[in-house]
Amino acid sequence: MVHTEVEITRGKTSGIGRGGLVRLEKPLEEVFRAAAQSPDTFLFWASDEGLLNAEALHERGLISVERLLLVKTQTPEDVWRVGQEAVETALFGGVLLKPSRLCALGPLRKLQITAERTRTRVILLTRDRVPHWLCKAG
Amino acid sequence: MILYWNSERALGPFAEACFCVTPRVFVGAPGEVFLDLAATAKHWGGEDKVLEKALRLAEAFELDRDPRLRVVLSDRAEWARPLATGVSGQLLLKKGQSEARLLALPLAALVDCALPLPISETRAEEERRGRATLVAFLLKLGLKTLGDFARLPPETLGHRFGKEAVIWQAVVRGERPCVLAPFVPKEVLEERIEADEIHSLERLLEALGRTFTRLEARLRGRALAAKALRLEFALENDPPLTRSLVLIEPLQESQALVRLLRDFLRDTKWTSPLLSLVVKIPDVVSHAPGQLSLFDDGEQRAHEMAAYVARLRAQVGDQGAGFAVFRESHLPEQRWSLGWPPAPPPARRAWPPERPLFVYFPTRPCRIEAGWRLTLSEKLTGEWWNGVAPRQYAVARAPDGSRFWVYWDEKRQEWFLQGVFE
Repeated sequence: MVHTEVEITRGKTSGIGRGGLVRLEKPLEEVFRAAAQSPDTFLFWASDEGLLNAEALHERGLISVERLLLVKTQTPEDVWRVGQEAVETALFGGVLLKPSRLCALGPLRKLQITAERTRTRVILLTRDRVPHWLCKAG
Repeated sequence: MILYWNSERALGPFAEACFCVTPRVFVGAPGEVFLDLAATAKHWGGEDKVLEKALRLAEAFELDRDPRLRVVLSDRAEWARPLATGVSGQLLLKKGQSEARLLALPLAALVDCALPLPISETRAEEERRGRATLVAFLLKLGLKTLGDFARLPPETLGHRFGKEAVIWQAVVRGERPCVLAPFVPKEVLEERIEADEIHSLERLLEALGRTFTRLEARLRGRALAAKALRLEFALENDPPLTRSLVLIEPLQESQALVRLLRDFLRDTKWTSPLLSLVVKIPDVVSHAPGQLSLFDDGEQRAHEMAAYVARLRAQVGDQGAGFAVFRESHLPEQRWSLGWPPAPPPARRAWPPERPLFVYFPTRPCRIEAGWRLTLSEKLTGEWWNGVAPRQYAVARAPDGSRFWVYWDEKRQEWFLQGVFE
């Protein structure tokens, strides 16, 4: 299974860099490997359908679960809201959002601008297509 | 120097906050607080600054809005009450000025000179009556001021009016300190909000903002931080509604606490008009902030992370946000839960079972369609004592290549979808 990932940051460095809006298609495991490039930074995950399996992540050695904040929300709107808040805190090197539904363009654009300002790596895991003008060449 | 406060309001909470100004806080009659500023005169840049700090503290408790508030700075505690007689607002006397001012007061002020404390109300009234009798007699003799009384020879006074009159004169002369009762705060911090004009969450948060400013001052006074909050809503037509919030990191700052409550109370609805709200802090810990490093912001970031997780959990519940905390269990969904603070995970297993990265909470019944390929994996038979039936796990591969983590519940005779391999 593949995902549509949209990263909203600036200044691509290596792998998933910090900058612009990069669109990638990789399995979840690869996304984690890329998102967890800096071992010192915290990662944020939010979803309304389920949760990351912390045990499997730990057993596979993909990421230190002590640095992964997991959030399970009731609605997809809440995923976008807590995601926006997480980016605004600038506490996380990477923010992974897996909502069951895409939000309106306004909040998405706001998320993009905030992520640029706080230099946070944001990865959206959704099957819905994101408007092309939000994506820049990575 | 003694800073004396007299108000018609209850000054207990204010007295509690005053511990951050001086450890020597005393109470007199209801509505009276004595602060001994000499105890901390050498701190915060001298007595003037300590005084400024105390007066600023009163603003947090809105004492400055009390038209009957009287504040007197005097050399001695026993002189403060008579000096406050007839004063409206503040009377801040510099060192050495109190005595002259006191001795110029009318003789009737003797009744207000400090009573030895603590004494019973009956005993206080008796003493007050005794003084009033003495004052009435001395007035007849032509004495007009406290100064006239102070100048009387003590032996003559004792011979004519007894031992008590000599003691009262010694108090006026500043030769006999009065005994004050140390202030002992209540164990549980509590504030009450009357909700007559609160009709919306915004108004409630506004009122909570003022309340938590006071609570912060009280916590600071006692060098404590809140670990839990309890809100008791008294409703007009329904039983009281109680909401409790356990803080993942002890907090003292009012702004942080109100921000947390904004998220926590977002979904709170009252089924009938709100009459009042009682805010309690049932659990506290000693607040001892450490020294932050100039070059390492790790501690500051950990603090910020704790505050953020606290806000998140106030929004989505304790089980909705946190870091994975592992525990012993046979069931995959109970092998870990969301908690705070982050805990080190257990050692990795040499041969871990194949499990997906994404799991559904709760698991959902599913149907295995024709054409799907099932590969049996592990069988779990544990935790029968909790009513959990044996489970046969399998990886179900759909024709489009998607792989799902499913199990057969032997008790319910049904397939359940627990995760997806992505």
